[in-house]
Amino acid sequence: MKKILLILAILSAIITGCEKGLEPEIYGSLSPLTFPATENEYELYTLVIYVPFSSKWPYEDGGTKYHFFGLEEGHVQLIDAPTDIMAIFTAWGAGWQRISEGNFELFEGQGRNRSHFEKIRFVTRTTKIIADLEAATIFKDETFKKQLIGEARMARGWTMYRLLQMFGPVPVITDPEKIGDQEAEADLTTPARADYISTIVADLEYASENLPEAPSDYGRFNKGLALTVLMRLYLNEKDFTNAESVGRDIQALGYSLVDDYASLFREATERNTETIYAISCNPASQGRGPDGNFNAYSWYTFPNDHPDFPGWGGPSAPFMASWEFYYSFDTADERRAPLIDSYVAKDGTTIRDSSNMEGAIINKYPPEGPNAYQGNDIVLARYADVMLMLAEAINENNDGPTQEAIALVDSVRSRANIGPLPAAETSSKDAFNDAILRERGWELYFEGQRLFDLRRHGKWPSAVSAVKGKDPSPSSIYPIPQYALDDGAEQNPENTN
Amino acid sequence: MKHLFKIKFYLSIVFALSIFSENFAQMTVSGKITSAEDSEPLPGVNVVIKGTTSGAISDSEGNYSLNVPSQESVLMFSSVGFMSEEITVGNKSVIDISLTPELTALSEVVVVGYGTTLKKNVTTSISKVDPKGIPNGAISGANDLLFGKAAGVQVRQYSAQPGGTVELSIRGRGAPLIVVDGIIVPADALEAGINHSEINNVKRGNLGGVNPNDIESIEILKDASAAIYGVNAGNGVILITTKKGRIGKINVNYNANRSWQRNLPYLEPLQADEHMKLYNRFQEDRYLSENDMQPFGPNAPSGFVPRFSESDIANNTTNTDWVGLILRDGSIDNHNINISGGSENIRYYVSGGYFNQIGTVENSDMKKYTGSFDIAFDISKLFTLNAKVIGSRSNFNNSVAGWQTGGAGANGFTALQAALAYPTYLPIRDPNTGQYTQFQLIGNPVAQLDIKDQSLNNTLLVNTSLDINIIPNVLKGKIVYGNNLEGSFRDFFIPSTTNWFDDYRARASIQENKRQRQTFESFMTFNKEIADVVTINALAGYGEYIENRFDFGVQSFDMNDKINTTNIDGSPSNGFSNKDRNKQRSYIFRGSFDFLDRYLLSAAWRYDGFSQFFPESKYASFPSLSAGWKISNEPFLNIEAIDLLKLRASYGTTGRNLPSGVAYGIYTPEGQVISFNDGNSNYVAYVLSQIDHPDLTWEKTIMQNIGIDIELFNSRMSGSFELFRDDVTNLLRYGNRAANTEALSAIARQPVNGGHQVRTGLDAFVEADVIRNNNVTWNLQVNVSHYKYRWEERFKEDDKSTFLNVDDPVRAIYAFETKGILQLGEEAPEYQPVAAQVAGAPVFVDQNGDNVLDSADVLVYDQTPKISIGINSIFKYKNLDLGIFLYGQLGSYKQNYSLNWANASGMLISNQSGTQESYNAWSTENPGGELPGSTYDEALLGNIGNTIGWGSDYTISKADFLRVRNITLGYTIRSNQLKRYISDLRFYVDVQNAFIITKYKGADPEIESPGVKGAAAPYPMVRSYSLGLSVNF
Repeated sequence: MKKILLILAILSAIITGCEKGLEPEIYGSLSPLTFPATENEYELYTLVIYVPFSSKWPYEDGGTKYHFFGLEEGHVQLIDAPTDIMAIFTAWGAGWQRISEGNFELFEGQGRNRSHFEKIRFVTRTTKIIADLEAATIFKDETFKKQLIGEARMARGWTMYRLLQMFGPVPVITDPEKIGDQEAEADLTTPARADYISTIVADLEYASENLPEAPSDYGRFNKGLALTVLMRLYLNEKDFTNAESVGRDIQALGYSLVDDYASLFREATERNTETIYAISCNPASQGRGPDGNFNAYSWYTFPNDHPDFPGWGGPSAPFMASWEFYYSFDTADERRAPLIDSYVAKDGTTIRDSSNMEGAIINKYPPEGPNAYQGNDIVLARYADVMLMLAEAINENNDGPTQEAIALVDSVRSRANIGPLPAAETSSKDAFNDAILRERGWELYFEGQRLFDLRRHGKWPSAVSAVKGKDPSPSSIYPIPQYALDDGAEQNPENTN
Repeated sequence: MKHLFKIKFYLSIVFALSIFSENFAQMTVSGKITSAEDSEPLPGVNVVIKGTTSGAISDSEGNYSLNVPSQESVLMFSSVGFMSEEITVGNKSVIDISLTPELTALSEVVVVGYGTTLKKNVTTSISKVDPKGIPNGAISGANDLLFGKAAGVQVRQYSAQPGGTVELSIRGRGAPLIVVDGIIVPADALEAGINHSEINNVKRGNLGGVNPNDIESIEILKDASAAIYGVNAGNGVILITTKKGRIGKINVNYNANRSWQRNLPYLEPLQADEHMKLYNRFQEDRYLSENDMQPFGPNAPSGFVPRFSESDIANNTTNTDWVGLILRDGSIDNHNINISGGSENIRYYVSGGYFNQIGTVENSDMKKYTGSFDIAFDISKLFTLNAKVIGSRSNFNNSVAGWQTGGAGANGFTALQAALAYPTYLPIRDPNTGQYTQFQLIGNPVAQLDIKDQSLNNTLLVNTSLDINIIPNVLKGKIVYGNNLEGSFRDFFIPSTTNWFDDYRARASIQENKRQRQTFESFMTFNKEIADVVTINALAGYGEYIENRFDFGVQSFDMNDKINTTNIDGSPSNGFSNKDRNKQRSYIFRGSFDFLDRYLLSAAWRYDGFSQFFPESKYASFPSLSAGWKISNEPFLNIEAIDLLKLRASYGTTGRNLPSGVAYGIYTPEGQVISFNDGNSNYVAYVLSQIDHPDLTWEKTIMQNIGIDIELFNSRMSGSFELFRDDVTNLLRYGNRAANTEALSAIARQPVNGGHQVRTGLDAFVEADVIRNNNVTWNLQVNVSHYKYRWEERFKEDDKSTFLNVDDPVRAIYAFETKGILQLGEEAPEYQPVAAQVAGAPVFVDQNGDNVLDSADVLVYDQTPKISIGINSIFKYKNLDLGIFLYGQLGSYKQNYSLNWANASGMLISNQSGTQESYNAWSTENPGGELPGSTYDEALLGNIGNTIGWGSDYTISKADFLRVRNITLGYTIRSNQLKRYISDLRFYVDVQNAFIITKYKGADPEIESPGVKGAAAPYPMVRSYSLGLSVNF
């Protein structure tokens, strides 16, 4: 009997619902049900839009991703290195070599990890952020809200502009209603170019109207940047009228050339009257996630036997100026000074020069400071560029150079301590155009402009083929990667056989 | 059905009813029980009055005493390992009896989940490993006991470093569930990382806490038998049972051994002059081919300047043996003691172990202390309280072997990598300055030995339980609470004098990881024979499991080298932390039926819930069914020679929950800090990294198994053979392996269920006493397994370019076959990739002969071995024993990245300084070379045809091998002279990893060596010579 009692005792259970006490336990993250709620949280929610515009080692975002202006697969490697102004580089495998030759075939084989095409997802993310900001009712300060929306739209417009330059118009989601709709998110139909352009224009115009000229955090997007990118868009789209008009808006912002060209790229003088926008770098950064932005170009520009600063590449560095480009300078041109054409190697005897180097060392961001990496800000927009673009637009709009246009170019030249353009180069629209293209190379090398300039001037691939070792693709538009084609994207016409 | 789950057991109620007694005694019987073999008294024998539940247990002297109701009463004497006896009491008041040992293995008890059963009645696929007789000299972990020991259990030495990872897998499935005395413990080792840097030098994990000397038996549940652990048993289950105290006199065992360890042949670097000459050769070949000069092209050779001049080579006197400076001989000192015993009401087992290993790579060593304490206390006839504590503490100096991670280059090489890449013509220190020399980006290997890298790992497993003998031998209850605590602390410092990652800078990292897993279970078992027809064994239980994890770390810079990590106050620092917690709840039911000792049937059902899934996907059921037919017990098969012939079959479902993360939408801190104003203005942004996944649920594996067990000639020979099939469905993709989303989704990867994999195979096991005489016995065991592991259905999210055929092997390597090297003057085939159209390149094979290289020409290499084999032989002559253990595998392929140390073009970019294998590279002087020449660079191949990322097969090697794991010679002394003090004494010598038979070139076919820039430098494989003794007092 007692045994039965005991069994009953053990079996006598307390009745509880079986689902209770098994709720999820989530730490180290925030719930979409409660975040974002305050102005400060909305700001932190918005600021992720800066991630692709940072300068660090590649980042993780559902796989390894490359920054637009990072060291690898950034603007220097993708926009300058393939062109006539930079040398080929063979030591680090096919990826580096083929891009440096001006050949983009391998982009077709790039996976989701590497390809910039994945940035179409980032456009969706910014669309969501913009919509959430617009719907937010907690802002007491409407100007602040508009500034945040301006930053997000700057990021979206700039991303779409970069993608356009790389791949042509790409599928994007700019309508927040489509987010979360699996069918819409899988729809990779290429949009009409005009629609795509007008979205970018609307974003950049909004940004230019709502971003401050000088944000309190130096390095956040500003009004001048929005206008400069908008001007580049119009120029590359050959909408010279609008390009000229935006150029004049930028002129009104009061930027001016600095006297010393080299000072633009030095840490001490990186904030100046000419630089419109630069990635603000922390000299102590090692380029990892928790660090600030860094500038590590010297490791990629100096050969590894250099006595003062041995870089990573080899006897030839990944980023060098082509000898053809080096010799194209007027010897008096101060802009050639950052290019080093010879040195005595670390062993104290070997002389390194054009006979045994692929190209000249690009010392535009000289290694400074005690750390492994540098703090020199990475210049992405400056007034000299705007002046040359404006000259180009005026030339096109007037079917030939005006005095104003010539003066714009000459003042850029004069700052570099060389004389005005010779008469022959201002004698016709075409001659002036050619002169501007040359001038842009000398002025803006290593700033990620060249490929777009050559394309706009109809010099791709001819200008590139003229340089030793180059093997340019027929089109400067990159092929859309195979994985995206498998997902249903269409190959762009430039890469359709 | 839900009311079934509303049962919870409460300890307090049970205690309230703990006062209990019986009184129906009429007469007393007592006696002494001895062993028929040696007349020694037998403690712990069960004496039960037949047909009742009352009885007694013999004491340490073999004496028993009990009250019986009448003279007709029948006493049943039973003890594990002895034949049962029945005696009618009659008028005797003293009944002495001697029990005959059971020679047959049929009486062997096998631990199954939540209980035990007799081996002869097992209806599923369970292997049992008895650690006795496995040499324990040079081993520190329980996994080491399993090399080649059981059919269907693959054991792989992942890393040979002290405490290095020994990877276990059941039927090729991946990390199994580990259960120690009923408590689930994590299968992976907890290791704090270096949150600083990009190196992978620690590969440990070997059930750290449990001392192999304390293990009584290891059972491996290979099929649906695992389903009783439903949850997370998809890879099978390993049950570890530790030693317990027994009633009887105190037994003290001490065993000690010393091992001397030597590295097996490792990669052999080139001498300085060899390197210089070979470098010049490779450099010239490259130069001539690039400039189309003779003999590669039409142009006349001109302008070549070798890197090393004749005089450089002639005058060089330095020849630093960098690898020799990093590798060394090692040793192990291993001492273990255990004390056990028990009286009628209490049984105990206490042990302690000390393991001190000096590793065979500089700076790598391990000191491990283990201790355990086990006590079982009979509070009353009703209650037995059990408490067990297993603790361990390991101090490691972490190895300087390994490789860099995160895509880093030569600047992140570990010391052993650097030793293989650093030029041998450079001295350790510059004779003029006394400073360490520095070569390009590669850190000086000897300078890297100044890096401090230490780990301190602790484990503590506490296991308490209460047994409730409600009806002795029939109905039992059990309440279990277990708590497994682990901690790992890592202390890492790079002094400012060591160049590493391009910097001379003091850098420190301090990190601590903690993990806790709590188990609460209560269950009841019922065991009853009904009318001699059917024996019923039933189980019902409930369990709750809580897992906690917390990691934190800090990294700091620029402190004084002498102070280093001991005081980081004021040093620029940044840190991280991470917390995780989840809960699981289970309901467990099983019923086993044995009809007429011939037909066996067992059905189990487990119902599991997991906190991190959505309510609608939280719970899943895991049913299983198995049946057996003991043909040998049928009247029609009454053959003397056949002890047992049993057919069995099983079918069941096991599962896996989300090992990390949740199914819910979250915003996480963006790891990329948003920084402005020269780094003076920083923001941690938040990104929507996951949306809600209400459908995310358990991964399920359907396991099917049929087998036959046979035992012949009075158990002289036994064997089993079985076929199985696993269907892994609803596979979980999460974390780093989460699936691709729609192309325009803001979040690139999300966790999903999908896909279907199939694993099929067979396991065979044969054991025989080939010789069984009075003086000589020879026992031989052979086990062989064959597996195939392939996809049935892919994830719909996966990129098509990542595989060739839908049903390819899961562990496939894809590559284009190459045959030989293109020679000078030889015409390259038309389809040959552009980068391979030069002499010195491998010649690609166009499999289908269509003159185009594309996916149709790609070969699929399977990394899963076709055959795994284990052979164990124990030969005994009188007091002498000789054991030989072998294991091996056939039919597996591996990317042999250690060949990259001999890569000719790699030498030219100074990532490698070359090994003796470099002489096997093609050059104009060595046209017979089998490896590609310096003119060829695999990295330049690009994508071939319509394929993405698939290259040539020249680094793919067959990873077949047969390893002689142990040769052990032992001698046991059982002299009467000794007997006054000690009961027996055994001396032995052992060679572990005596030798390996393989055609594999490079470090070792077994150890991990991934593809990184330069090449990886894994910890070398070691051979150990041990001398040991074991003594029982």
